[in-house]
Amino acid sequence: MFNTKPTNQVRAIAGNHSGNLVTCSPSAQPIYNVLEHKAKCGNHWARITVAGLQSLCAGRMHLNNVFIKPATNISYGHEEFFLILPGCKATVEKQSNGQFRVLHLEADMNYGLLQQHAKKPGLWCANNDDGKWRASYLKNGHIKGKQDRVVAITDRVDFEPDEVLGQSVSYLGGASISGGGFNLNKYGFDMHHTPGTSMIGGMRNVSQANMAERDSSLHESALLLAKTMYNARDIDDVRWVSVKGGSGILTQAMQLLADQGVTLEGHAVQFCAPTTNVAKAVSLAKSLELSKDRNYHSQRRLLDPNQFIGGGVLSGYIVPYQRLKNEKDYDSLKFVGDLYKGTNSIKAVGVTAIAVGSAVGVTSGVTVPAVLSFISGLAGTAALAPKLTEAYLPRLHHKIKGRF
Amino acid sequence: MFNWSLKLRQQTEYCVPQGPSFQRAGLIKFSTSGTEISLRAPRHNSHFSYKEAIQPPRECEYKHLMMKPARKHSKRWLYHNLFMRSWRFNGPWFSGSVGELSMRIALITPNEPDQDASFFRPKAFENGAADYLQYCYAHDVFEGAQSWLAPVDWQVVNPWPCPAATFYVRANAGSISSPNRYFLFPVSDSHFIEVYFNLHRGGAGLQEEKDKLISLSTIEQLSTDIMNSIQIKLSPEAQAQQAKALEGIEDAQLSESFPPIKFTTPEQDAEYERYLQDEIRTQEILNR
Repeated sequence: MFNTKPTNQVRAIAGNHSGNLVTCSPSAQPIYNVLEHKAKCGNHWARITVAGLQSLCAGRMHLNNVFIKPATNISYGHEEFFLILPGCKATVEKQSNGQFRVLHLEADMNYGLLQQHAKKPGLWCANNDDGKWRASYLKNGHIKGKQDRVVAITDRVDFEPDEVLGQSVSYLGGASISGGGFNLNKYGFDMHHTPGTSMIGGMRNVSQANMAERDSSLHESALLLAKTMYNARDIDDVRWVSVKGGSGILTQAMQLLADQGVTLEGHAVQFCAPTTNVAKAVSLAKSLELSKDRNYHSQRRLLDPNQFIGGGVLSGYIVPYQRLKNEKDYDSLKFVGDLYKGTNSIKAVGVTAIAVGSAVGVTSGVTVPAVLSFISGLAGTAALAPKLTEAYLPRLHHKIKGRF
Repeated sequence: MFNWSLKLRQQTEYCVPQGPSFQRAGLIKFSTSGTEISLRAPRHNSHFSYKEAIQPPRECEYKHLMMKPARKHSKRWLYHNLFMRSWRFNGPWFSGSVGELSMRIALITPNEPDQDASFFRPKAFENGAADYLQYCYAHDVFEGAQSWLAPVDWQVVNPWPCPAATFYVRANAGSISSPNRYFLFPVSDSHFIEVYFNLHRGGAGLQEEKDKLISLSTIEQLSTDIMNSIQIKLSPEAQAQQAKALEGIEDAQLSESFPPIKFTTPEQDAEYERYLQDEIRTQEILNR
C-alpha cells in the first residue's frame, strides 16, 4: 500500500493510451480477470462493473455521481475510496501522481445467479397468461424492444417478484401513462425489481427519502436501472413508471444519467404514490427531457404519512412553481390549480385560498368559487358542483377539465 | 394458532402456515354440456388484489363459451376459466401472509382438434396432455436449460369414469418458480378439464431454501383435499362418444409412469453446455 509506483508485472486495466493509468494490485488482479471474462461472456452486471472500474481512467472527478463514498483517510495526496458496483465493491487508491490503483476487489461471482434467484436487483418481464401474472428474469437487462413499452420500477417490499408484481399491478393500471389495465394485460410490461423487505423512503427513512439520488443503499439497483434506461434510449416512447418507493431508485438512476449528460427524449415518466422527494425527481426528469402526462405523479395521497413525509410536504408547491418557471405549456391557471390541489390534500386550504382566489381572478374569466369547487372535486374530495356540471353542462365541464 | 393476516413483523424461523379449514368448505356444483362436476372448496380469500374469484355458471354449452388462447406466443390451445379461487396462508403471530394456494378449473381445447382422435382414448389423451404441457412450459428457457420439469409424479386416477391423471409441474434446478399441480380428465372428444393449483410461498430464493422456512404441507394438503372431493358424471353424449372411441381398443389404460418431457433442442443443450463450461472456466481463473 505504501509503494506508490505500479510494478511492471501489473497490467494496466485502463488508461494505457490516454487518461490516468488504472492498475490492479496483485491480489485484485485475478478477480478483475474473472470479471472481464464474465463481461465478455455477456453478463450484464459484469459489463457494468468492468466499465465502472475502467472509467476511472478519466479521473474520479467526472464520476461526480453517487457510487463513490468519501475516503476513509486522506493524507499527502493519497486518497482511498470505495466504488460500489453491481456484485462488486472495490477499494481504490488515488496516488499522488494521479494514477489509480485498485487495491481490493470484493466480487460476488454468483451475482448473475443471485439476480436470477431474485436476491439481487434485476430486470424481469411480467406477463399475464390466462389470468395469472408471472415474472420471468431477463438476463441481458434489455427491455422488450418495442414501442410504448411500460417499465415499472417497483418498491423494495419483498424478495419474491410475483409477490411484488401482485402489489404493484393495481398502481400501474391506475397510472395514466401506462395505458390502463387492459393494455398491461394484453402486452405485459417489464419490471425493475429490487428485492428487500423495507420500503424505500417514506415516513421512517426521511433522510433516504430526501436524498434518494445520493443514497448508497440504492446504488446497486439504480446503476442497473440506469444502464437499462441507457440501453433503451433508442426505443421510442418507453414509459417509466415508478411504484411507491421505486421513485427513489428511479430518481438515483436519473441522476446517474443526468451526470453523464444523457437525455431520453420521447420517453415518458410518472411516479405512482411516491415515497421519496418528488421535487428532486421532477427536476431530474426535466433535465433528461422526459415527457409526462398532465402530472408527473399519479395516485398521490397525502393522507398516507409515507407519501406525505417521504414525498415532501412542500413538493405540492415546489413542483408547480418549478414547472411554471420552466415549462412553456404550463400556464398560470394550471399552476394555481395544482397549488390548490396540493393545499387541499394537506388540509390547509385557508393559507392559499386568498392567493389562489386573487390569481384566478387575474388569469381567467371564470368565477372563483366555480373553479375552486371544481378543482377540489378533481383533487378527490366530495364535491357536488363538478358532478352537476358534468351531468347538465357537459361541454362546460370538459372545457374546464381540459385546462387541468 | 394466532395465524392472523395482519403483518407487523418478518417471520425468520420455520413455520407451518395456516389456511382456511376444509371441514367447513361449501359444495360447488356445475355442469358443462351436461357433464356434472362437483367439488368442495373454501371461500375465496386472497392476499393479492388482482386475483379474482370466478363462480362457475350453473350450466353452459361448449360452443357458447368464449375460448381464449392460453399463452400469448401462439393459439394452439384455447381455454375458458370455469372456476377460480385463491386462499391465503398466514404465518404465526403477526407475520402476515406467507403462502397462497390458487386454484382454477378450466375447459381446454386444441384450436384445431383432430377429427379422428378422441381424448377418451388413453393414448390420444396422453398425447394431448404432453402437447399441452409443451405449449405451456417449453417456452421458458434460461441459458439453454428448460425452466420447468413437467410432468413430475404422474399418477393415474382410479377409479374414474374416463382416463384421468394427476401430476406436478416443478421448477427445474436454478429456477425459483413455485410448483404447480394438475388434475386432467377429458369431458368430450376434443375438450378436457384442467384442475390447476399453484402452491405459492413468499420469501427469497429457491424452493429448497423456502422449504427450510415455510412448510408446504398445509398448502399441499388443502389442494389434495379439494382434489379428492371432485366428482364427475359424464353426460349421455359424452358417454356415447367414449363408447365409440373405445370400440376395438384393447389397452384402455393410461401409462403408469410418465417421465418429465425434454423441451430443449440440441442447440439449446449446446448453449447450456457452453454456459456450464464458462462457469468452470471462471472457477479456474479464480483458483489460479
